[in-house]
Amino acid sequence: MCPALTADDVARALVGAALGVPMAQIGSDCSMFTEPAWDSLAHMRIVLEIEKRLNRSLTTEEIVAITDVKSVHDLLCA
Amino acid sequence: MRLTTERFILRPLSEDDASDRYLAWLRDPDVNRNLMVEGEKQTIDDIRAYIRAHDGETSILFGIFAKEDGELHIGTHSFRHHPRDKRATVGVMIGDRDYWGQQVPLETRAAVLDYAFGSLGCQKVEAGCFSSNYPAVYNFKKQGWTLEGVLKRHRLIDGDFVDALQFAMFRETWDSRT
Repeated sequence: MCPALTADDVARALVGAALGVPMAQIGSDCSMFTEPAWDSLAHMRIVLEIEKRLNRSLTTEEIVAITDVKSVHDLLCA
Repeated sequence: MRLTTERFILRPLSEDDASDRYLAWLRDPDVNRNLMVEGEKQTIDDIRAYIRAHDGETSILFGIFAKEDGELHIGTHSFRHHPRDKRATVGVMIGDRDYWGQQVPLETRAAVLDYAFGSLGCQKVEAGCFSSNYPAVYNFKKQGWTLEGVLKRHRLIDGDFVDALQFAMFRETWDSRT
Protein backbone atom coordinates (compact mmCIF):
# COMPACT_ATOMS: atom_id res chain seq x y z
CA MET A 1 0.00 0.00 0.00
CA CYS A 2 1.27 3.45 -0.82
CA PRO A 3 2.20 5.14 2.46
CA ALA A 4 0.58 8.34 1.25
CA LEU A 5 -2.80 6.65 1.19
CA THR A 6 -4.79 5.76 4.26
CA ALA A 7 -6.82 2.55 4.41
CA ASP A 8 -9.91 4.69 4.01
CA ASP A 9 -8.46 6.19 0.83
CA VAL A 10 -7.81 2.72 -0.55
CA ALA A 11 -11.38 1.63 0.18
CA ARG A 12 -12.80 4.80 -1.37
CA ALA A 13 -10.59 4.36 -4.43
CA LEU A 14 -11.70 0.76 -4.85
CA VAL A 15 -15.36 1.70 -4.60
CA GLY A 16 -14.91 4.70 -6.87
CA ALA A 17 -13.21 2.62 -9.55
CA ALA A 18 -15.98 0.02 -9.43
CA LEU A 19 -18.66 2.69 -9.64
CA GLY A 20 -16.90 4.74 -12.31
CA VAL A 21 -16.96 7.72 -9.99
CA PRO A 22 -13.88 9.82 -9.10
CA MET A 23 -12.49 8.93 -5.68
CA ALA A 24 -12.86 12.55 -4.62
CA GLN A 25 -16.62 12.14 -4.90
CA ILE A 26 -16.67 9.00 -2.75
CA GLY A 27 -17.02 9.91 0.90
CA SER A 28 -16.18 7.68 3.82
CA ASP A 29 -19.91 7.37 4.44
CA CYS A 30 -20.74 6.31 0.87
CA SER A 31 -23.03 3.30 0.71
CA MET A 32 -25.25 1.31 -1.64
CA PHE A 33 -28.17 3.13 -0.04
CA THR A 34 -26.90 6.63 -0.81
CA GLU A 35 -24.83 6.41 -3.99
CA PRO A 36 -26.91 6.09 -7.19
CA ALA A 37 -24.00 4.63 -9.16
CA TRP A 38 -23.72 1.73 -6.69
CA ASP A 39 -25.89 -0.69 -8.68
CA SER A 40 -25.83 -4.48 -8.76
CA LEU A 41 -23.10 -4.75 -11.39
CA ALA A 42 -20.94 -2.18 -9.62
CA HIS A 43 -21.48 -4.16 -6.45
CA MET A 44 -20.25 -7.30 -8.20
CA ARG A 45 -17.13 -5.44 -9.32
CA ILE A 46 -16.51 -4.32 -5.74
CA VAL A 47 -16.75 -7.86 -4.35
CA LEU A 48 -14.56 -9.31 -7.12
CA GLU A 49 -11.93 -6.61 -6.61
CA ILE A 50 -11.82 -7.26 -2.86
CA GLU A 51 -11.39 -10.98 -3.52
CA LYS A 52 -8.62 -10.21 -5.97
CA ARG A 53 -6.76 -8.04 -3.48
CA LEU A 54 -7.19 -10.51 -0.64
CA ASN A 55 -6.34 -13.37 -3.01
CA ARG A 56 -9.16 -15.51 -1.66
CA SER A 57 -12.90 -16.02 -1.93
CA LEU A 58 -14.98 -14.12 0.58
CA THR A 59 -17.13 -16.00 3.03
CA THR A 60 -20.89 -15.62 2.91
CA GLU A 61 -20.79 -13.56 6.08
CA GLU A 62 -18.27 -11.20 4.46
CA ILE A 63 -20.24 -10.99 1.22
CA VAL A 64 -23.49 -9.99 2.90
CA ALA A 65 -21.67 -7.45 5.09
CA ILE A 66 -20.59 -5.34 2.11
CA THR A 67 -22.92 -2.37 1.95
CA ASP A 68 -20.68 0.68 2.22
CA VAL A 69 -17.14 2.06 2.13
CA LYS A 70 -16.63 1.25 5.80
CA SER A 71 -17.37 -2.43 5.25
CA VAL A 72 -14.94 -2.47 2.32
CA HIS A 73 -12.35 -0.79 4.52
CA ASP A 74 -12.88 -3.33 7.29
CA LEU A 75 -12.42 -6.24 4.90
CA LEU A 76 -9.25 -4.84 3.37
CA CYS A 77 -7.78 -4.18 6.79
CA ALA A 78 -8.82 -7.43 8.44
CA MET B 1 -53.70 -10.05 -12.90
CA ARG B 2 -51.44 -7.31 -14.15
CA LEU B 3 -48.90 -5.32 -12.13
CA THR B 4 -47.42 -2.10 -13.44
CA THR B 5 -44.30 -0.16 -12.45
CA GLU B 6 -42.72 2.94 -13.94
CA ARG B 7 -40.79 1.00 -16.58
CA PHE B 8 -42.32 -2.47 -16.62
CA ILE B 9 -45.49 -4.51 -16.88
CA LEU B 10 -45.85 -7.83 -15.07
CA ARG B 11 -48.47 -10.27 -16.29
CA PRO B 12 -48.87 -14.03 -15.98
CA LEU B 13 -47.14 -15.90 -18.77
CA SER B 14 -49.12 -18.09 -21.14
CA GLU B 15 -47.76 -20.95 -23.18
CA ASP B 16 -47.50 -18.56 -26.13
CA ASP B 17 -44.73 -16.78 -24.22
CA ALA B 18 -42.50 -19.89 -24.37
CA SER B 19 -40.20 -18.42 -27.00
CA ASP B 20 -36.75 -19.18 -28.36
CA ARG B 21 -35.69 -16.02 -26.60
CA TYR B 22 -36.83 -17.42 -23.24
CA LEU B 23 -35.11 -20.72 -24.02
CA ALA B 24 -31.86 -18.91 -24.82
CA TRP B 25 -31.88 -17.35 -21.35
CA LEU B 26 -32.21 -20.74 -19.70
CA ARG B 27 -29.34 -22.06 -21.79
CA ASP B 28 -27.12 -19.06 -21.00
CA PRO B 29 -24.56 -20.22 -18.40
CA ASP B 30 -24.44 -16.77 -16.86
CA VAL B 31 -28.18 -17.03 -16.20
CA ASN B 32 -28.72 -20.67 -15.38
CA ARG B 33 -25.84 -20.97 -12.91
CA ASN B 34 -28.05 -19.01 -10.53
CA LEU B 35 -31.16 -21.12 -11.12
CA MET B 36 -32.21 -24.48 -9.73
CA VAL B 37 -32.57 -25.99 -13.20
CA GLU B 38 -30.26 -27.77 -15.60
CA GLY B 39 -30.61 -24.99 -18.12
CA GLU B 40 -28.66 -26.56 -20.95
CA LYS B 41 -31.15 -29.42 -21.13
CA GLN B 42 -34.27 -27.26 -21.27
CA THR B 43 -36.60 -27.28 -24.27
CA ILE B 44 -39.52 -25.16 -25.36
CA ASP B 45 -41.82 -27.93 -24.16
CA ASP B 46 -40.17 -27.79 -20.73
CA ILE B 47 -40.90 -24.07 -20.58
CA ARG B 48 -44.52 -24.66 -21.60
CA ALA B 49 -44.84 -27.31 -18.89
CA TYR B 50 -43.31 -24.96 -16.33
CA ILE B 51 -45.79 -22.24 -17.29
CA ARG B 52 -48.70 -24.74 -17.10
CA ALA B 53 -47.55 -25.78 -13.63
CA HIS B 54 -48.62 -22.35 -12.34
CA ASP B 55 -52.36 -22.24 -11.65
CA GLY B 56 -52.63 -18.45 -11.82
CA GLU B 57 -54.00 -18.23 -8.29
CA THR B 58 -51.70 -19.64 -5.62
CA SER B 59 -48.84 -19.88 -8.11
CA ILE B 60 -48.19 -17.27 -10.75
CA LEU B 61 -45.35 -17.00 -13.22
CA PHE B 62 -45.17 -13.32 -14.05
CA GLY B 63 -43.39 -12.22 -17.18
CA ILE B 64 -41.52 -8.94 -16.95
CA PHE B 65 -42.13 -6.77 -20.00
CA ALA B 66 -40.29 -3.52 -20.73
CA LYS B 67 -42.66 -0.68 -21.62
CA GLU B 68 -40.06 1.39 -23.47
CA ASP B 69 -39.04 -1.56 -25.61
CA GLY B 70 -42.43 -2.44 -27.09
CA GLU B 71 -43.30 -4.58 -24.08
CA LEU B 72 -40.31 -6.79 -24.73
CA HIS B 73 -40.18 -9.86 -22.50
CA ILE B 74 -37.00 -9.59 -20.42
CA GLY B 75 -37.48 -11.92 -17.47
CA THR B 76 -39.77 -13.58 -14.94
CA HIS B 77 -40.96 -13.46 -11.36
CA SER B 78 -42.19 -16.73 -9.93
CA PHE B 79 -44.73 -16.26 -7.17
CA ARG B 80 -46.23 -18.82 -4.83
CA HIS B 81 -48.83 -17.92 -2.24
CA HIS B 82 -49.23 -19.99 0.92
CA PRO B 83 -52.60 -18.67 2.18
CA ARG B 84 -52.67 -20.76 5.34
CA ASP B 85 -49.48 -19.10 6.56
CA LYS B 86 -50.08 -15.68 4.97
CA ARG B 87 -46.74 -16.12 3.27
CA ALA B 88 -45.43 -16.00 -0.29
CA THR B 89 -42.30 -17.25 -2.02
CA VAL B 90 -40.81 -15.31 -4.91
CA GLY B 91 -37.95 -15.71 -7.36
CA VAL B 92 -36.70 -13.45 -10.12
CA MET B 93 -34.79 -14.07 -13.34
CA ILE B 94 -33.65 -11.27 -15.61
CA GLY B 95 -32.75 -13.09 -18.80
CA ASP B 96 -32.06 -10.16 -21.10
CA ARG B 97 -28.49 -9.03 -20.46
CA ASP B 98 -29.28 -5.53 -21.71
CA TYR B 99 -31.31 -5.07 -18.55
CA TRP B 100 -28.70 -6.26 -16.07
CA GLY B 101 -27.57 -3.50 -13.73
CA GLN B 102 -30.77 -1.56 -14.45
CA GLN B 103 -32.36 -2.15 -11.02
CA VAL B 104 -35.08 -4.29 -12.64
CA PRO B 105 -35.41 -6.75 -9.72
CA LEU B 106 -35.76 -3.87 -7.27
CA GLU B 107 -38.43 -2.05 -9.25
CA THR B 108 -40.47 -5.07 -10.28
CA ARG B 109 -40.17 -6.97 -7.01
CA ALA B 110 -41.54 -3.91 -5.24
CA ALA B 111 -44.74 -4.36 -7.23
CA VAL B 112 -44.83 -8.05 -6.35
CA LEU B 113 -44.32 -7.21 -2.67
CA ASP B 114 -47.11 -4.63 -2.80
CA TYR B 115 -49.35 -7.32 -4.28
CA ALA B 116 -48.38 -9.86 -1.62
CA PHE B 117 -48.71 -7.57 1.38
CA GLY B 118 -51.56 -5.48 0.01
CA SER B 119 -53.91 -7.56 -2.09
CA LEU B 120 -53.17 -10.91 -0.47
CA GLY B 121 -52.56 -9.80 3.11
CA CYS B 122 -49.32 -11.72 3.48
CA GLN B 123 -47.22 -11.17 6.59
CA LYS B 124 -44.02 -12.53 5.11
CA VAL B 125 -42.41 -12.99 1.72
CA GLU B 126 -39.40 -15.24 1.29
CA ALA B 127 -36.79 -15.59 -1.43
CA GLY B 128 -33.29 -16.86 -1.88
CA CYS B 129 -30.12 -16.80 -3.90
CA PHE B 130 -26.70 -18.38 -3.94
CA SER B 131 -23.80 -16.69 -2.17
CA SER B 132 -21.92 -16.43 -5.47
CA ASN B 133 -24.70 -14.36 -7.02
CA TYR B 134 -23.37 -11.00 -5.86
CA PRO B 135 -25.90 -8.88 -7.80
CA ALA B 136 -28.78 -10.80 -6.18
CA VAL B 137 -27.26 -10.34 -2.72
CA TYR B 138 -27.01 -6.64 -3.52
CA ASN B 139 -30.68 -6.50 -4.49
CA PHE B 140 -31.81 -8.15 -1.26
CA LYS B 141 -29.65 -5.90 0.90
CA LYS B 142 -30.60 -2.77 -1.00
CA GLN B 143 -34.30 -3.53 -0.68
CA GLY B 144 -34.10 -4.19 3.05
CA TRP B 145 -34.58 -7.96 3.16
CA THR B 146 -33.48 -9.87 6.25
CA LEU B 147 -31.05 -12.76 5.91
CA GLU B 148 -32.78 -15.57 7.76
CA GLY B 149 -30.54 -18.50 7.11
CA VAL B 150 -27.61 -19.96 5.26
CA LEU B 151 -27.50 -23.47 3.86
CA LYS B 152 -23.83 -24.26 3.69
CA ARG B 153 -22.21 -25.72 0.55
CA HIS B 154 -25.62 -26.26 -0.98
CA ARG B 155 -24.97 -25.99 -4.72
CA LEU B 156 -22.05 -26.85 -6.95
CA ILE B 157 -21.38 -23.92 -9.28
CA ASP B 158 -18.36 -23.73 -11.57
CA GLY B 159 -16.51 -26.28 -9.46
CA ASP B 160 -17.14 -24.63 -6.12
CA PHE B 161 -19.73 -25.48 -3.49
CA VAL B 162 -21.58 -22.28 -2.66
CA ASP B 163 -24.04 -21.44 0.11
CA ALA B 164 -27.76 -20.91 -0.40
CA LEU B 165 -29.06 -17.79 1.30
CA GLN B 166 -32.62 -17.48 2.55
CA PHE B 167 -34.01 -13.96 2.81
CA ALA B 168 -37.31 -12.65 4.16
CA MET B 169 -39.28 -9.46 3.87
CA PHE B 170 -41.78 -8.91 6.65
CA ARG B 171 -44.92 -6.81 6.35
CA GLU B 172 -43.87 -4.29 8.98
CA THR B 173 -40.50 -3.76 7.31
CA TRP B 174 -42.11 -3.21 3.92
CA ASP B 175 -44.76 -0.91 5.35
CA SER B 176 -42.18 1.19 7.20
CA ARG B 177 -39.90 1.88 4.23
CA THR B 178 -39.40 5.52 3.37
